[in-house]
Amino acid sequence: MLSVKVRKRLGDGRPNGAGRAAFTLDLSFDAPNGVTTLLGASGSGKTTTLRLIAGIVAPDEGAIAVGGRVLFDSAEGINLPIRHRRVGFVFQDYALFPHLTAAQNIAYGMKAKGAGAKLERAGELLALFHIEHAAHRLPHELSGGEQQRVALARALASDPAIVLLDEPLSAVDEATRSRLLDEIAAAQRAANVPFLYVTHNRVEAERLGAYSVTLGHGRIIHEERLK
Amino acid sequence: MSPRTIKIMLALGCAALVAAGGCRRSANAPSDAAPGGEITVSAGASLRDAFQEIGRLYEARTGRHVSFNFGASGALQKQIEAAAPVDVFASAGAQQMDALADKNLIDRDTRRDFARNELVVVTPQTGAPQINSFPDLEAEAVRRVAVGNPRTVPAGQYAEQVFNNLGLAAKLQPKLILAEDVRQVLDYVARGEVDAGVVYRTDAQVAGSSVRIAAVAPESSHEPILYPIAVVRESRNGEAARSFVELVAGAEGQGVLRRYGFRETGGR
Amino acid sequence: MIWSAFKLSLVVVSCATVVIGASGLAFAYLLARRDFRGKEMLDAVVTLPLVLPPTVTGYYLIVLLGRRGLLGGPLYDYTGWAVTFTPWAAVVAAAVMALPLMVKTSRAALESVNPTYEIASYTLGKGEAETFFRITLPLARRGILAGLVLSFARALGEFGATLMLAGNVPGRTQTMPLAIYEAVAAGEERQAQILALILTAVSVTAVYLTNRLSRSQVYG
Repeated sequence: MLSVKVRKRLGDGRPNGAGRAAFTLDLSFDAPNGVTTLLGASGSGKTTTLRLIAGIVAPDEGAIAVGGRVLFDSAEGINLPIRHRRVGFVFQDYALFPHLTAAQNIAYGMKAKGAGAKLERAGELLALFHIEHAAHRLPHELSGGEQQRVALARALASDPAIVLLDEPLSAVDEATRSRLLDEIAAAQRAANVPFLYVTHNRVEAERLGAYSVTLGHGRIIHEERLK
Repeated sequence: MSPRTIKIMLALGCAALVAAGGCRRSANAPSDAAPGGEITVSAGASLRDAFQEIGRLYEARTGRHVSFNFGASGALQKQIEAAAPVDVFASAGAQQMDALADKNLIDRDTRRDFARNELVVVTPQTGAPQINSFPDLEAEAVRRVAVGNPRTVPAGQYAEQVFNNLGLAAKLQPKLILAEDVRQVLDYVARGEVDAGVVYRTDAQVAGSSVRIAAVAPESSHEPILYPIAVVRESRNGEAARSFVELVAGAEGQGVLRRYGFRETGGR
Repeated sequence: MIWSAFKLSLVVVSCATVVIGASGLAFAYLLARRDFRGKEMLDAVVTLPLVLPPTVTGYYLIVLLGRRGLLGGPLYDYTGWAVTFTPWAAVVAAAVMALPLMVKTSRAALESVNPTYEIASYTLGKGEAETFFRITLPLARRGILAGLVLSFARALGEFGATLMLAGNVPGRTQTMPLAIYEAVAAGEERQAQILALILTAVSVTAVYLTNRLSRSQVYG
């Protein structure tokens, strides 16, 4: 479902290196439908991989395809802009628009026409995640767990072909984390698109992933099919 | 910031202010009367070139230094009213001198008219509409005419008199572009921004080939443009000031003025 | 004289502020969010009127837009119309002189918006323009508003470049600052005082508003 083969030189003052020692990201993997977890220590290139798939950054060379649809191909000269990739992204700090309510955030990326239809669909998603009460609240009025759900709902509402999650539970406490993991798994089953889930936490990975890829210093050091 | 740093910064700041103060004084306002009988002469802008030459003569003759302060006569009048240290005042019009006389700020015995000017129409050197007389300004082809602001510029007041006396005021009013001094009028004309301008003959002469003198106002159409000069009562170098006035009124000074386009006063 | 100068100032500055708002925001966005050859050059050129003496800027404007200017010349030859000594010249002078303030303030406001929000908007399928109007602008709006207010005040007080390009034509280009200058030169103290009072009141209000708006917008 997700096919990634990329090479990118990072570090030593380049835009995405941010002061790290220079190293090269060089990976190739194919992920099935379901939740794929991307494991690795900080600085191993996990977030960069997500940014490459989303189109925030371009690889030096390679090819990326989702569900057979080519997002990037250096040989063919294809590089779809972010907005055409249909990639849902749950950022590490959620990046919920601070001036919009939870419902407005979720409705933002919807393709349905008409404000009425949008808010209705937003209501459905809020219900799915059990946060109807948050509909008219601003993000800063919500707890970490609620924000994370809104962020995921927002990504799903835009009808993506793939959902990328960047360590979404790192800011959430132990107790809530467990429940959220189940919700994420359920959301994936309902949406039926591949989820690529980045984390440095083995336990999370084992609970979630059907397929797990471990990165080390920009390369794949371990691949595992778990279920 | 440590107290020591603050003290150093304050000291530097004060030093800078003092230095700036010293510089400013020689730039804008007249400087204080210096030893050696140095004098300061405030004169209307149109007298600049002639007076600078007379100033060189003065320095050669007497060995004394003369500083000049050129500007709009109205502004110079205000400076003297505010007790600026000026020794001699030469105005481009009687109004400003009269105002000072009323306030007893000038030495009336030393007052005299030393030059007369004529009012002319100037046009750009190229591409100007055909103008041979003041009434020609009414032509449609003449769309913009620059004059000094009659409220503040003597040349503008004389222009206004000419327009009124020749019956041109009504038609010219919408075409007038007011300038804050005569040099600006010349700049507008030279640049072709206006089709014609009204200035003193002496200014037109200074502007040289960048403008053309197209017409001269008949003497009867305006009050005589007489330049009065006088020693300022508060002058600390009365003797030196008087000798400057004598030089201006005498044969040598008059010769210089003639060369710059000024006419004899023909009286007073 | 006071009343006509006041009305003219209001009209001229309102027009100028509209021009400044649109173009200033455009420049600010380019400088804040795009990288291109000559970016530093653009920044320098836009900042120039802030640093040059107003009469120098006025000189360049007249060389550019005068009846025999680089751009104004052909315009005059074809249409018989030039911008000098018209109210439009006052608008141009005010806009050019105040633009740097708008660009600098707006650029800072735009740069203070976390780029991740914009990226999030792109991942949700929105283009650059829609993202700008729905996300970036609302989040930066206080700083941008401060920029507008500051520009308005600067445009209101604009004198040097206006005098050169628009001249002093009562009823047509004599804005309040020019009227004050003339009143003082003509010895009309009362007129000068009244005009100065009006301008001061507006400027003080503008500074107050700018300061209040510049306190960063905090959500929660």
